[in-house]
Amino acid sequence: MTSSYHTCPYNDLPDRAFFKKVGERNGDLSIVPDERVSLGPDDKVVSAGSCFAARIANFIRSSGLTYLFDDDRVVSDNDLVREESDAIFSLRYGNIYTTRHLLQLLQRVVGEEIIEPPVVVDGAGRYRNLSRPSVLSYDSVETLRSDDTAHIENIKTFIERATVFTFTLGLTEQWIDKESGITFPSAPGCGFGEYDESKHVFHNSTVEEVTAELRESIDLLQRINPELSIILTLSPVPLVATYTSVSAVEATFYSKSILRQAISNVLSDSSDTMASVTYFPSYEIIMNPYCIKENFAADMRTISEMGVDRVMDHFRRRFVRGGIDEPAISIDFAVDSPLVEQEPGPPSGVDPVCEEENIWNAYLNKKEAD
Amino acid sequence: MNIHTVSPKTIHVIGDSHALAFKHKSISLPDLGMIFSANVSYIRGLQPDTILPNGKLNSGIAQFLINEGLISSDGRPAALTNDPAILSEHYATGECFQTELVVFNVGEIYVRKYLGTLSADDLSNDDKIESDFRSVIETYVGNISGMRRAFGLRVCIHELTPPTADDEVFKSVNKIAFPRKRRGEVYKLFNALLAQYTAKAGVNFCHSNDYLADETGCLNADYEFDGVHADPKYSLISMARVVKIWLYSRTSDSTLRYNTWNALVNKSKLPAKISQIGVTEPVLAVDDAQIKRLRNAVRDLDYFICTRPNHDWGHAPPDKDFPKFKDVIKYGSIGPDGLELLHEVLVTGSIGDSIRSLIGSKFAIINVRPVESTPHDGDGVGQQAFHRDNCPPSIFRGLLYLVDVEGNEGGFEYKPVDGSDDPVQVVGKAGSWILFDANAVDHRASPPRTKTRLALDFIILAIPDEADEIVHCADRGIIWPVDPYMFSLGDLCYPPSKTGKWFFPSLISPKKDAP
Repeated sequence: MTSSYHTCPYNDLPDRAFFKKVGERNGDLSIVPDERVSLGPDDKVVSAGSCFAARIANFIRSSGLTYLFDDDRVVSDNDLVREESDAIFSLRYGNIYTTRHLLQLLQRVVGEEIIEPPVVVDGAGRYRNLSRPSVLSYDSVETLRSDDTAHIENIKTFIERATVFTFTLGLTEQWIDKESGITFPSAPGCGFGEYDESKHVFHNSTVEEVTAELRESIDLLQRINPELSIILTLSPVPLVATYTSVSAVEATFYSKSILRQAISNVLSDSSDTMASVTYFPSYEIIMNPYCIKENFAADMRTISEMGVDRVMDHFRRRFVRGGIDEPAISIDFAVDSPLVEQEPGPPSGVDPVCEEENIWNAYLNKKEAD
Repeated sequence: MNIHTVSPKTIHVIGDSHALAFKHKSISLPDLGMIFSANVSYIRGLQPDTILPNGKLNSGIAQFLINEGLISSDGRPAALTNDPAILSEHYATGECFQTELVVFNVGEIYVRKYLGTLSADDLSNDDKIESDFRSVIETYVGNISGMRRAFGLRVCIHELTPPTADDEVFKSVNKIAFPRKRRGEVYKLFNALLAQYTAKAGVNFCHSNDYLADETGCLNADYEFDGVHADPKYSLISMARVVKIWLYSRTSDSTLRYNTWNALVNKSKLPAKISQIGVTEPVLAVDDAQIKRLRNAVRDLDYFICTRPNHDWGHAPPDKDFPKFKDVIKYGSIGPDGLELLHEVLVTGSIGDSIRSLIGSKFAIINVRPVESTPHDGDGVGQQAFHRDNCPPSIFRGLLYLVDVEGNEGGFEYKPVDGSDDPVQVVGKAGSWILFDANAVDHRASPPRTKTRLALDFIILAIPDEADEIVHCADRGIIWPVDPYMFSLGDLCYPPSKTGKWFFPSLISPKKDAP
């Protein structure tokens, strides 16, 4: 039996379609300018989401683009409203890890559902809003509520003013207040409040739930500002811990898979609503096996500077308009460094174990013929 | 025997055989004490599409950049390496990292070969030729622009040398006959598109056809050489033009060393508070007596021209005719008494604590610039039009009014970070101080309408604990250093510098924590 390669449908695909070719490009995914969303000097960007969103905010600021920011405190008096952690997003909503959290926040912004977040007292006798417990502390419940009302108003104003909203999805695991249904950014009893089995319930969202919550969140954002463009990203930062019965590593991959699938579900909607919504593959850039080690710091949770730089370089080429397309550039180390191992030559025949390798073999065969 | 010391700078020239004209060439600017020498990398047969095939840098170019210390062997800019041995070896030269000038002289071979591929019908098909050229040029300029960004280089693309005007010679060299007028037109088209795409990409472009080409677009008889190349004497004119481009565009010059410096200073990786709020509310920092002392210390006010540019600081153009800067703003220097007072007020006093809190680290005022704006009725241009400064990381700005500033009398004006539409004008009495992040907000010095405004403008560098909190005034027209790890200091420095240089070896080779 002879094998035939010349009709393989992969033969004429660009390099980026082949895993091994991507590997030669020093972590570059051959990203092309986005057709739905672009950023220029007149754009105003608001970001929210998991910790990784803060790194994107840094890039926006340093790229000559306008990143909206407000102190977002009803008063800046430290006795009344104390800053407990640095402000890292456009407004002081703190980390928004889940789509449910985002949705509930936006529902409050449009006045759709008025649920006041639970309040707890910390060790210093100050009041904390469990929807953003690490961000601010208050001298009284009244100040907290007044600040919360102003915060919700500020979110509305910023969404109205913004031209681009970036949201970084982080987790599916969450803890929910049984009575109100409010979801918390962290588990009660882990720093703030007390865990009470009768009041709090663990929930790991399904892909259907995340899809619905994300879709509804986008609807609400565009109801507030119909001209708003939305960039969705997925945080590559692994879970700190899981409350499920599997390992944190398994739970991380489960969580990220659900979120990634939900994003695809939402983007597959061909309605006008989604015409200005896009996905940026920060997760894939970091998790690319060819450079995953250098993309993480030694703790294998924190994204390294090189990893962040790599993401931001892709982000710039994907979204920042002006000038002309610039490729990423890699150097063939083999040219200069005899210490670098050479890649083994391509297999000469069909791999009986890995059928998928046939695609690669066909590509090589085609290249040789050319 | 008279021996003059001059400050040398290299112009790296990469290209096909046309680049060879630059070999062993130097030019000097005696008035500025500068000399420029070409360092050529000739890569036989180099063409636009062989610079970066499939995203991989041409091995000859890569090797050249590595050998010259412009990039490290892992493909990163040398300025970003964290290898203390490499860094120590670099700084042992006594020179800071500089933005390297690289000129690409590529493309003529492509055009010549392209002509040979055209069918008789295609010879007059302008649309096809333009379309083909656009595709090649877009890739060429995109690749060069990508190298500029990836490696932190100052790149310049050289215009193609026109074809020989001699039909017989052209035919003999290229084995094709191609009418003189038509080949001139084709080369002109390529060069016009090259100029268009470099402008779009913000890449510098070195023209040469204004004197190299005759009226048909072929090589001027004065520069005929061997049927392919121009007489090598042309390279001196090109070098002068590249130098002029460089000297005129250094106002925001900086190297990637700021990135590693910033990582050293900003351990949280979060934006400084001042970057979030953009501009502080004005506060009175000095009293009337101190204002008088500061005013008395201001001297040498003159238009925004750099008369003594150097390699280790960004600077204004050394040419009073440069059109961007109108004759309505003067810069000067400030004497030792003023610097000592500023150190007392802005560094050791409560204002200093506020600055440290807002930028998240210690700081040095690396350049104080007295600035006088004279009244006029025109629209603001240059510093008086809304802009952002493209400051490198770790650089912040401050302003201290030395006169009362009322509305429309030269107040600092900015667009707030909360996205609201109305600009805010900072008015205040003499002695009012603000700190701002010139990258975070659109801002300008609004034109004063009836009164002269005098203020001190500050370039502030966030620094790690090991560095000194100095106050320094550089020569007029000087802006910020290109490398925060090492730069020259002048006499106007408080505390006075013993070495005339800003350099802390421990920052180059950080000590490891004790076990």
